[in-house]
Amino acid sequence: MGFDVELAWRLLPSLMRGAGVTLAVLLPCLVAGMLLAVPVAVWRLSPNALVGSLAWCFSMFFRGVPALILLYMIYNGLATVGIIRHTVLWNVFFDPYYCAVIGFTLNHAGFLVEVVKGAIQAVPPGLTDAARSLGLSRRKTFFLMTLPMAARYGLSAYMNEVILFAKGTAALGAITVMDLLAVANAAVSTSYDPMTPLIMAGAIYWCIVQVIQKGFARLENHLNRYLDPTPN
Amino acid sequence: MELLSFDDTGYGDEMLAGAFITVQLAVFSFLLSLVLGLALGFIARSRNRLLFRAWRFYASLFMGVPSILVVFFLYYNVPVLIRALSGARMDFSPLAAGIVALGIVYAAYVGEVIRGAILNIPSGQVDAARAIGLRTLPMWWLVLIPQAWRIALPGIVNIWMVLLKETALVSMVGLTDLVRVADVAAAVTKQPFMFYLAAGFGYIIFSSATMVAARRLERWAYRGQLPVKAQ
Repeated sequence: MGFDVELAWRLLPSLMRGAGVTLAVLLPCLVAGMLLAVPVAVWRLSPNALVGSLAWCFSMFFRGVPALILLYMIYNGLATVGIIRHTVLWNVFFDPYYCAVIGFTLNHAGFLVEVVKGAIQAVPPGLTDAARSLGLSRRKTFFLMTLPMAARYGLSAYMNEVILFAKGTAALGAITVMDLLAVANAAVSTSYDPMTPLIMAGAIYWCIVQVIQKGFARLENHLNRYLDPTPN
Repeated sequence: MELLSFDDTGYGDEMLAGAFITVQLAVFSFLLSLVLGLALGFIARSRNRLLFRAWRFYASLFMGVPSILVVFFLYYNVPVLIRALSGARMDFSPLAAGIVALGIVYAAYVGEVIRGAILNIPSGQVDAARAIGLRTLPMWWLVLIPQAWRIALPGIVNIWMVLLKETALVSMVGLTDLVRVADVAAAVTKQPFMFYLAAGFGYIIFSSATMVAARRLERWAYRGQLPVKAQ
């Protein structure tokens, strides 16, 4: 009972490897999730009812279903589908790591769609009119004005989502990926110490969250540097 | 479809029992987080430096680690702790570990929302309540809480939605909730999509149902304010 410093030191390398696995899932999902969420958010705002409701279904489903169920569905479920099992696709879905990246990307994108949509809607319509009347095409207006402005409006909601998502990756162990929590749990059963490995893992998760928060604070300062000339 | 039937051959009754466990876990941990979070929200606005620091520590700790890690921690450590303190051997069920852990974690979020709501009430309201001669308790009960509650409601509904989906993770410590039952049924029947989708839609239906209830609650909280526009 109690925190065992010597054990903590001995576990540190394997826990860091676990943290590496957590980050190796987290980072590609952040990129892929954003690439997926921006077009879906634009479709969500489309005047076309069919496109709009398809995008709504996408975000409703992937937000509403717990990430753990998505992971099970992809890892355990797709293995039973003949088309996947007997083609080159099996090389992807055989590996729990790729299944995790795909499942978490969809889950993360479901939440991001709402964040991006809210951010785009927060851009004052007058700015769009102004950009259009300057002769910018619709495409240029979107990429040069709307998206950069929306990034500023949506930043804090995005940060909250990234932090929730980073902590949500702790479900990885359920599909046999040896992430930070799974390594700590394995250490609990081999060392018979129920406390030290989990405290160490918690500390590492906490540090990851702090880095995300500090990073976003700096990014926000950088993006809004034109607003307030006084350095803070 | 007969795989979902309610007799011995189908998994319908097991799924329903699992869903009931999930609902219990979600409701009780949410209630616990509300009670703890309310206390935290009031501590957070205290001028006592030590209390404020303690609140910052609590919030930073539980917002910074995954809730499932806290579930595992309590599940492993509480029985050890009880034995060390009282000598009694006591089992700590996965359900109890889940309720307590999620309650503690989400209390940090509830506390943040409550604090924000209280800070958002214009200070003139306190002056006005004092000016018409209200004592502290009636002032809170009649003037401040009805307004703070209105501001806090959307945030609290959000926390509920996140918490509901987070309960799925507690199946990782062996709770036979909706996810675990669906997983077992999927493995036995070799029909994974049917059961995972059924479980997934269970969560969607449950959160949609509470969304409707939340709308009602919101309308009630805003009674006497400007008329709510029909959407």
